[in-house]
Amino acid sequence: MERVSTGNRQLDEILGGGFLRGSINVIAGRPGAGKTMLAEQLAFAVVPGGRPVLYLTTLSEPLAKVLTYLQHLDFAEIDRVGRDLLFESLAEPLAEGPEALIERVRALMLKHRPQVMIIDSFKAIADLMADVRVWRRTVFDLAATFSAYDVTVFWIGEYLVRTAQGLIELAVADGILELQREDSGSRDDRFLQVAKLRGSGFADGRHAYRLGAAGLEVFPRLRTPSPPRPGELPTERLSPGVAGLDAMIEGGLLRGTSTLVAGPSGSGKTLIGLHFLREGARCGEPGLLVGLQESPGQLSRMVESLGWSAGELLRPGRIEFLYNSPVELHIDAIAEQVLRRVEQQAVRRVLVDSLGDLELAAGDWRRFADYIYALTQHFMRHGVTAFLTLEGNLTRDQEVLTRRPISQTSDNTLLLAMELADEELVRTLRVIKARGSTHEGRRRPLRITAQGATVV
Amino acid sequence: MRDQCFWMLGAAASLWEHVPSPSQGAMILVVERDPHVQMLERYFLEQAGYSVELVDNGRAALARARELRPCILISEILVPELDGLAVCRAIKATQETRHIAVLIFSILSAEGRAREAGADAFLRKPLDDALLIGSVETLLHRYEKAEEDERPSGTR
Repeated sequence: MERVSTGNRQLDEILGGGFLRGSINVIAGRPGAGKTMLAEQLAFAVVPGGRPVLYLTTLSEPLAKVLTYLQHLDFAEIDRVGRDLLFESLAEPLAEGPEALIERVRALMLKHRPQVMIIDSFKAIADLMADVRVWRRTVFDLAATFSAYDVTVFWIGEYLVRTAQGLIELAVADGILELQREDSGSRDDRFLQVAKLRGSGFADGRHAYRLGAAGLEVFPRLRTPSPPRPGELPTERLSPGVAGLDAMIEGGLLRGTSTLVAGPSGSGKTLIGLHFLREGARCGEPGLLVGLQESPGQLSRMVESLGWSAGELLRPGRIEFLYNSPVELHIDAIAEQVLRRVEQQAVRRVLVDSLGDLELAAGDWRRFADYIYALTQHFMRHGVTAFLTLEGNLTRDQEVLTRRPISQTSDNTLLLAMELADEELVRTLRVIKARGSTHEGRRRPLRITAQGATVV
Repeated sequence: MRDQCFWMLGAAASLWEHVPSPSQGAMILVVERDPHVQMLERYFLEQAGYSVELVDNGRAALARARELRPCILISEILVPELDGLAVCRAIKATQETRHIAVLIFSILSAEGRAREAGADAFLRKPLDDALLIGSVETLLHRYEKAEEDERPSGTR
């Protein structure tokens, strides 16, 4: 079946290619969720020069207001308004009653012959109907009219799908897309979810999105790729870039594997990760540092303190720094940014610093475990070798560590520790897991000097 | 051309090859039970200059076709009493009505069945007015040409 694009590639993917042509769809969500913006984005996505898009406003969205705000959006090609995109108001017939409303909608459809018709807000019409039977008949009548003609219809409304299952407009609709907005303390999280899409498959679950002048930016929920066939797994070994560590893991790390670097604050996790990336840059493997803790300034200072040139090292093609403030981040948005760089910029080494911040952002530990598994599987498929840092005082608590889902997901685990011996701080490193490699499990001193880290 | 349309009248026929001005008032008999589709068909066909008669079942369609001798009959398959394909077969099997061009316009994806029933064209719902009018114009053009060809020579 033919599809109608939403104007957003990621959302089209979630919908299996777009909304079905000729279908009736509800775009639901609370005030401020971005329903009108999505409808407008969709309207401008229609190819110019064909049958128009008819945008019908009701009471909650006065026409003047819609047009005023529309002009601030990047995708709004205002020259097309009046030609490809026609705006009309239903406020007057709405005041006269349901018969007048149906007649007006029908007359506008016959007059303009639209390929897409948007009614914003449809729920505002329902709210004006005193009698539920009259409203049901009105919805059936409108749905039958739309179904007879080759027009794809969007009803916009402040519906909460979970609590509105009995509503006639949701029952009649072929597709329901809900925009959800959640206030989680310091952050305003937005998710979209397909609740129904007759005649089509779709990506289920909640997908993060954010709003901007460019419209909706959607981050499809990270999904696990199909596993590689046995012969596809790389056997090449790479140096982690820390002197002495190669020898502890059969001459290096297998390409495409993920290594968990766990230890308390100050034990050298980020430092080891930077060595890993620097070694990649030296061998022509572009690196990506996904930073959730150090700001760009702090990172530069850290790099300079090792005697390395931050200007030389910290740039795309060598080590790109992808900084995300923990208060603004969404895990699927980060995955999208990382995997885009892997695919488009041939990034081959990734350092995620740190997982704890990602876990907090995910909220739900099951979701986090699935997410990390999916992310590391994507890395494996792309031959990307990754270091993932995890903070915690784990020296005496290896049991706890090994039972954490995150530990089961990684191929290798390096455990860092710190202790005081004769008033001197001693750091140690132990390889507690190296899947597919023989490894030395003995605890070894980790020296950190002005020249960097060395295992002795 | 959208995949919902096929033509059996000549190998290279295209909807957009011929756009003749409609014979003003040419009679079209529409067989449709859904009042919303009826409304749309009447509106767009009349806008295009045709004269439209509506019936909502297959038996009435046959009676009206014999009576009115329309140029074109447009029928849904799913109509009561006698389905649209049976109507088509009956029309094509009767000497006095076989000249009527039949357009099957259905919610069902039934191009093959329409072809077997002897239909001249098929369109899938929902209604796209440009496709409907384009199809009717092409059918009408062929209808007129066939009439001309059947006339004895020297009478032109």
